[in-house]
Amino acid sequence: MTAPRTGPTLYDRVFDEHVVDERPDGTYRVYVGLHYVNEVTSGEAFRSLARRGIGVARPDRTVAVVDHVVPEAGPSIPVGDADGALLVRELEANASAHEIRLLALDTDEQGIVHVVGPEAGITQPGMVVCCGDSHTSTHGALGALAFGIGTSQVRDVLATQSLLTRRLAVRQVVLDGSLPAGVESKDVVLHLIRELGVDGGLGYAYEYAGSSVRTMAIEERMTLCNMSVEGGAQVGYVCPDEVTEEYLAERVHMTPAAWSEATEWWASLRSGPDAVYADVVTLDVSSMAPMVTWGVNPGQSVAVDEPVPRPDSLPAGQVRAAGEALEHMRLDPGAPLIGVPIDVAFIGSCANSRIGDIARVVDVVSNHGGRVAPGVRAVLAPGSTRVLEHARRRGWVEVLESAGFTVANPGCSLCVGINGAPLEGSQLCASTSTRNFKGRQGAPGGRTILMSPAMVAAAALAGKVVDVRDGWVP
Amino acid sequence: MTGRRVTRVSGTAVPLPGRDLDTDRIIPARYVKSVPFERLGRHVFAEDRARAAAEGRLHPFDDPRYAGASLLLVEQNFGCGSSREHAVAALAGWGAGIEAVIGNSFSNIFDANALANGIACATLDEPALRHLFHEVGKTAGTRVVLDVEKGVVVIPGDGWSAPVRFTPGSRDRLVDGTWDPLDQLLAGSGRVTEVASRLPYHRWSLPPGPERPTRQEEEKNG
Repeated sequence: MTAPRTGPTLYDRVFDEHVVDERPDGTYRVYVGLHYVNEVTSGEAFRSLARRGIGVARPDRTVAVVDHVVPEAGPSIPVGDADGALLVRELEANASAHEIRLLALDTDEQGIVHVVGPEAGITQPGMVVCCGDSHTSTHGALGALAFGIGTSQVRDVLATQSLLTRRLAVRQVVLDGSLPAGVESKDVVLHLIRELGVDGGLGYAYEYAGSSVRTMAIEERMTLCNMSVEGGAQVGYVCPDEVTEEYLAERVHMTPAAWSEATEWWASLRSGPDAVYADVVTLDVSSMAPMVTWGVNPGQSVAVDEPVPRPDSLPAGQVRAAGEALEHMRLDPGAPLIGVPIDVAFIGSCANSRIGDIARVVDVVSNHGGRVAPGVRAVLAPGSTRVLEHARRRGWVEVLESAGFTVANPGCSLCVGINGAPLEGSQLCASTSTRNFKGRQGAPGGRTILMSPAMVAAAALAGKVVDVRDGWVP
Repeated sequence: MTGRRVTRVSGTAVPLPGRDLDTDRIIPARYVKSVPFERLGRHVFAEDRARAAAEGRLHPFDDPRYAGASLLLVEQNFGCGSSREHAVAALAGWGAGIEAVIGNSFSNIFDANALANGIACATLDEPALRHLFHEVGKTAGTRVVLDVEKGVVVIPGDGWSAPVRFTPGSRDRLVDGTWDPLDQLLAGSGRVTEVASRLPYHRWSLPPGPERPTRQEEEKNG
């Protein structure tokens, strides 16, 4: 077993607690404390086990969720979509056969895995959490060590509750200052990715710290951790604190004695003042602005009041990519992004589909008092049934539907566009999702501009990209 | 039980310029949803190739000069984005099958997925990568050898070579044939149980039920 390092970070502490073997080649076999499986990436893994007659090692540490193929409207079970229905049936059958807990469709446990897991108190600080989905990093917001894996590793984890992995270097990302009005955690992380590059985090885990992070709610921290992988960092986390404890107190099911033990252990995991990081990046959020992407990866972004860059003004290695991106996006170099008309507005995805995100959308809609602009398809997909029910109780669903938004079934929806309601043609979508890659939202010519929920809400009402600071937020 | 040992990959190469080529482009999600792993090869880069054809351009994967290539040349951050291993399967199922990818850098997840399938991801310094792209683009059928064991890439035709790097552990697992670790992992299950037993959260996590209140409910009820 590795000797304890002086100045461990949370990553070091949690990683070391989960190491089964340290191998001579520098990789590690690690125990996986919690394994989420979804309908898109687990099927082949289960088949692989079945072919070899191997069962699931720890069904009690495995949770199954259907999220990617949930249709926008009607029953959550995709009856009209044969391929989707097959994936759902397969996962349900696998969960049943192996006695794995299933957060089932059409129950109050339904939703996007990275929303419902934390929501149900399942993800907790100090766990190594894996799932066949890159945005598993989201769970790091609770002080877990969480990362996405591919189908072969899903198989490894199902069979042995462990996998082989490398140790990442830890970069501390210190976010200081106060968020200006109209600027939120989505803008901060887009700014970070622009600064460091989409590949800046390769080989790193990001520890988010600083005064701004301390004042963020868990949901906002989830947005940061979620998008870490878009900056190349497979892991992103926030050390647990009182905010984490308050969130968990409402959700976990523990005896008082267990709670006492747990909170003490969680506190002991935190990076100490003597923690040693591979490097530290400090950003002042006070001077940040709402961000919008102009290109075809999350790093190709600007502040909303900046113009579309001229490719030849960028560093040499980015010039050609920028030119191709602008051609796809049909945006003119040097032109403003404010005023660009949109066809679709999407609020949802594991980055931004939780209660706080919807609250900010409703604030914008109520404050403005108008409706979704003519010709714009506006969809809000809550991250979970519990989020949807909360929104209903607060009257938010009525506000949104009256304003012309479609409130969809809880699920991944337009983020990945495989639920039967993708973008069409070359539609331009203002989106709170995680990726603006070519073809991402389901149409090869489709175009995506990533933004925060408040920015997408304002764009939906205006019918074009606007600066949410210009009177859109109360 | 070990698998096929990957000590050298020798063949022709297909050059694919463009940094940050993400897995949505390598294999769009609708194929991930509908097509089994073993049939993904024909859909690799489906949308990029269709777009190129529509614009009268030849995508490298449709260029007859590169048909049958077993090495893929890429630039920075290849395979970024979604963790879908289907991207690796699509590359492995295209033509004769890609067996190695050489580039500036790779997404961590893509790299791990490739390794799990016995496919080498080798990183090469920029000047050497430029040279390789140039030579492969200039002469159809240029033979390239990735010597995984020695950690070099060679153009046998003129003797040019350059050192390559792999992520920790990858080179050994490829060469030993242990890139698919399932059997090794299954053999060591006792140690896993030991580690699990020392992790306190197993004691605390109770499945919720109507009879088990949350902490806050307990406090409220006194």
